[in-house]
Amino acid sequence: MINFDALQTALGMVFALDTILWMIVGIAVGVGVGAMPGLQSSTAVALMLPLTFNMEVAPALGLLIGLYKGSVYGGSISAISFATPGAPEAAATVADGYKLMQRGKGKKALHMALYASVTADFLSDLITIFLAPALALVALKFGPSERAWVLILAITLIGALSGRRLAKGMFSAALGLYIGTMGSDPIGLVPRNTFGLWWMRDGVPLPPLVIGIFAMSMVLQELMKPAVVAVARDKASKLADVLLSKSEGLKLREYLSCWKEMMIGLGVGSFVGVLPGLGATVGAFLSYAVAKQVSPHKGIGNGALEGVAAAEAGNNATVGPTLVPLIAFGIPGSATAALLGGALILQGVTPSPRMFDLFPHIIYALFIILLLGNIANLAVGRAFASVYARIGEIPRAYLVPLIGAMAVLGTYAYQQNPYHIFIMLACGLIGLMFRYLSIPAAPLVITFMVAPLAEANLRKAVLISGGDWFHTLFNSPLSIGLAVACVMSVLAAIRFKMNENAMITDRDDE
Amino acid sequence: MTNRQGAYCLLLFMVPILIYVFSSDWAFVPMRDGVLIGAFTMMYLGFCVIFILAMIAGPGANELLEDIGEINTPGLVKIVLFLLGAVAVTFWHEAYGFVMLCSLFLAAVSWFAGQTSPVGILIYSLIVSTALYLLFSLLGFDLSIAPGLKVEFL
Amino acid sequence: MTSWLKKIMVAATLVWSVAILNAPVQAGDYPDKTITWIAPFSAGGGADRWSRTLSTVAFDVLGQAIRVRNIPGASATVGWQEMLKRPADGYTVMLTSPTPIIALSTEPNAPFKPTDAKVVCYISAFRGIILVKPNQKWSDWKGFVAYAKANPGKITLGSTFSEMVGAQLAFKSAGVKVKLIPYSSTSDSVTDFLGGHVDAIGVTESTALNLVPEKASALINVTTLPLSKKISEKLGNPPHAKALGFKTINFPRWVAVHPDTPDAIADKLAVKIKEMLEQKSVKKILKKMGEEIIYVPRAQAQDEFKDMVKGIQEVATVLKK
Repeated sequence: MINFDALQTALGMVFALDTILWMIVGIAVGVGVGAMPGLQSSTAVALMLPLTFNMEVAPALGLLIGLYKGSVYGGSISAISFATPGAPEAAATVADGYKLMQRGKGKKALHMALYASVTADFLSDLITIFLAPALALVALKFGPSERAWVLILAITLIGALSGRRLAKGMFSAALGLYIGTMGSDPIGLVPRNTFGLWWMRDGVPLPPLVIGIFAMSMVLQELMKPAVVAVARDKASKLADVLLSKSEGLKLREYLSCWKEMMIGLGVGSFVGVLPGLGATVGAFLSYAVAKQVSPHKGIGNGALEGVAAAEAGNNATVGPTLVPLIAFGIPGSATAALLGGALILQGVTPSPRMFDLFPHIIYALFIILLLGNIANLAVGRAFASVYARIGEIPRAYLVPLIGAMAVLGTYAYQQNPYHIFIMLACGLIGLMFRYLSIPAAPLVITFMVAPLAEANLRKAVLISGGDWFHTLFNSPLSIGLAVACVMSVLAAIRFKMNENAMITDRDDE
Repeated sequence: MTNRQGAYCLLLFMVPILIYVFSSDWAFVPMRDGVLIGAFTMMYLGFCVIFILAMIAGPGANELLEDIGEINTPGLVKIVLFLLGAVAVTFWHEAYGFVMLCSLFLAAVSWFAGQTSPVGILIYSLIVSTALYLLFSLLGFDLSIAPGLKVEFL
Repeated sequence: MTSWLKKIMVAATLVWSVAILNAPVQAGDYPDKTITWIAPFSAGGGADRWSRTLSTVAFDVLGQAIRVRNIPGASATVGWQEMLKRPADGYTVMLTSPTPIIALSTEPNAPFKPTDAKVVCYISAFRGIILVKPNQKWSDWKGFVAYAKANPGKITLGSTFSEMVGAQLAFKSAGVKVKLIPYSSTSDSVTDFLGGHVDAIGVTESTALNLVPEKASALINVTTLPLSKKISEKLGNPPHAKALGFKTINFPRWVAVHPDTPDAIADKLAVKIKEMLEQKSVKKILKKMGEEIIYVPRAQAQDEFKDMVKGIQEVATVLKK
C-alpha cells in the first residue's frame, strides 16, 4: 500500500536546506500579506508563482504551501489586532478576538488563533492523507439538490449567531440573503438587482463586504465619538508603555480547555472543505455557530478564547480537504488548490487520479510539506504574534486613521477595482446602522455567502429534473436525511433560544 | 430611542429598496426554468419586512438602544467627509499621486480622531502613507508618489 | 481643501502632465517605457499565467519591462474599461478571453461595446470538448444524435458559458436539442458529471485528457480549431464539428489595445509579441503548463474576432429564454 522507496525519496526531497528555507520565506511573506485586508492567500501565491518556474519541485511546493499557510494565519492577526479581517474567513474570529485584544489579552488571543489553526490544519491534513479517495467518493454523492440542502442546513444554524433578540438576527440574515441576490440570475445569466450599475454584474464580492461590515463600520463609529483631548505627556508615556510592556501569552491549560471547540472546528471544517464551492469562510462561521450552540455557558461572542479556537479551527480544517478533489480527480476544489495544481503542472506533474501511480514521491512530498508547514508556521507565527499583540494599545488617534486607510487600500488592492470602494463604504454604513441598532452582523455575512450557492444549486437541480420541485428536493435518501437534519436544527435552535431567554430572565431577576 | 423606534427607521431604510425592486423592469420576467428573475430577491425582501415587524411587535421592543445617543452633527459631517475622502483616494490616486492624497486623507482622519498637534499629524500621516506606499509597491502595485512621479520597483 | 492647496495641486499636475504629454506617440521609438499589461482575471488564472510568462522575457525582446496588473471584476469588463480610460499610446495592453464579450452581449447597461478594442493578435486558443459517460448506447456522436433526436431536451449538458456557446451552435446545426445547465466553474460541473447528476459536460482539452477514457468518452470537439493528432488519438478521435460542416466558434486568448491606438504601434506590438512567444524560455514554461501557442496575426485575428462577437451575441439570446 505505502511505497517505501518513494517515501524515502520524498523525505530526502523535503528535508533539504533549500526546501526548508523557501518554506520559511513563504510563511514569513504569507503572514505579512495575509495581515493586509484585501490581499488574500491566492494573491500571495500568484505573485510568487513566477519564482517557482526555475525551482525544483520540493522547494516550489515548500514556498507555495508556506505562503498559503502563513497568509491564512495572517488573516486572523489583523482580525484580532484591528478588528479588520485580513481575509473573509477570519471574520468569524473578530467578535471574540478583538474583545480580548481590547482587554489587553491580545497575545493570548493571537496564540490561541495560531495553535487552534495549526492543530486543526495538522489533523485535517492527516484526514486528507488517509481518507482522500474515500472522501472523494462521498463528495460525488452530493449533487445539486443535496448541496442545496447542506446550504439550507448552514442557514438554519445562524439562529445561534443572532444574539439576544432573535428578530434582529433574522433581519440581519434576511438582508444578507437580499444582498446575495445582487449580480446575475444563475440560470439566465442576465443582470438582476444591480441598481442598473454595470460594474455590479458579478454581484457584491465577499472581501469588500466583510471589510465594510466589520472594519469600516468601526472606523465610522469611532469618528462619531467626540474627540477626547488627551494630554500630550500622557500619550508619550503611553506609547512608551506599549513598546516596553510584556503581555501574557497563552497557557497550556487554556489551550487544552478548548479541545472541544477545536474538535468541532475540525469536524465541521473538514466536512465543508470536501464539498466543492463552500470554502473556509463557511467552515469558520459554521464551526463558530455550532460551538456556541453546544456550549452556551462559555460566553462565546463576548471575548472567549473558545470562540477564537472554534472559528480558527473551523477555518483551517478546510485547508487539507479542499485538496481532495485535486488529488482524487485532478479537479481543483478551491482557488488555492487550483494554484497548487498549477504549480504541480509546471513541474511536469499533472494532477489526476493516476498521480498516485505515476508520481508517488511527489504526492508524498506534498503531504510531508503540508504537515511540516504547520510546524514551521508555529515558529514564525509566534514571532509575529508578539509584535502584533501590542497594536491594540496604540492610542485611538493613531489607530483609527490607520485602520481606515488599510480598509480603503485593502478594498482597492483586492482586485484593483476602484468601484469596490462604493460597495465597501455602503457596507460600512450598513454596519454602522447595525452597531447603533445592536443588530448582529455575522448572520448577514453567512447568508450572503450561502444563499446564492443554495439558489444556484436548487435551480440547477430543478432544471435537471425537468421542473418537478418535490422530486428535486427529495430525490435521494441523502436529500431526505439532510432535510430531516434541517428540521431538527431549527427545532434545536428554538429550544436553545428559549433556554437562553430563560437564563437571561434568571439573571435579570437576581 | 427604543428598539421599536429603531425598527421604524429600518422600515424607512427598506422603502426605497422595495420601490426599486418592485418597480424594476426585470423583477417579473420569467427565466428558462419558470422562475421570475426577481423571485428570490422579492422573497428575501419579504423576510426583511417580516422581521422588522417582529422587532416592532415582539419582545424587547421597549428596550432602549444605548449607543444611539452618541450620534451628533459634527460626527455625521466627519463621516461624510471620510467617505468622500476614501472615494477620492481610490479614484484619483493615479492622477494626483498616491502618497500625496493618502497623507492628506490620513491627516484629516487623524485630526477627526482627536489628534490635535499639527506636527504630530504631519509626521504621522507622512510616515504611514510612505510605509503603505512602500509595502504595496513591493507587492507589485502600480502607485505613484506625486502626480507623474513614480519609482520602478521591479 | 483650502484654495492655496488646490493651486499647488493644479500647478503640480500641470507640470507633470506637460512632461508626460510632450512625449510623442511614434512607432519608431515604441516602446520607450514600461508597458502596463492588464490581465482582467484573478491572479493564478490562465490569462494571468500567460501574462507573467511573457513578462519574463519582455526586457530581452522589447528593451522595456512589462508590468502585469490583474484587474478582474464584472466578468473581465472592469479591466477592459481600465484600458479604455488610459491613453491610446500602446503602453496599456490587455490579454483576455471571450468572457467579457459574453458579458457585454448580455448586459443592457454595458458601458462600452465588444468592438471597442483594437485586436493585436491571438496568442492561443482553447478548444471546447463535450464529454459523456463511457460505455453506453450514446457514448459516440452518432448514437448521441439518434438518442437526442428521439428524446429532445432530455439530455442535460452542464458547462460554463463559453463551452455552452460552442455546444449550442454545433448542436443546433445538427438539429439536436439538449437541456443546458449553466455552471460557474468547470470543477463544479465535472464533480456533478462524475457523480451522475448531469449527462454531459463541456470542458477544455486538458480537463478532457484527465477524464478520458476511464471516466468519460469524448463526444465531439465543438470549436473551429481541430485537435492535434496526438491529443485526438488520446481522446479516441472524436469528430470535429467544423469538419462536419456545423457552425462553430473559436475561443481565443486575444491581445488588444485601445481602439484609437495608431495601427503602426499595434502592428509593431504584434510582431514583438510573436518574438516573445518564440523565446526558448517562454516555450519551455508554456509547454510545462500544458499551454499551446497558436499565434494568429493581426489582420486574420480581426476578422475572426468579428465572427466570434456575432456568434456569441446570437447564442446569448437563446440561453436566456
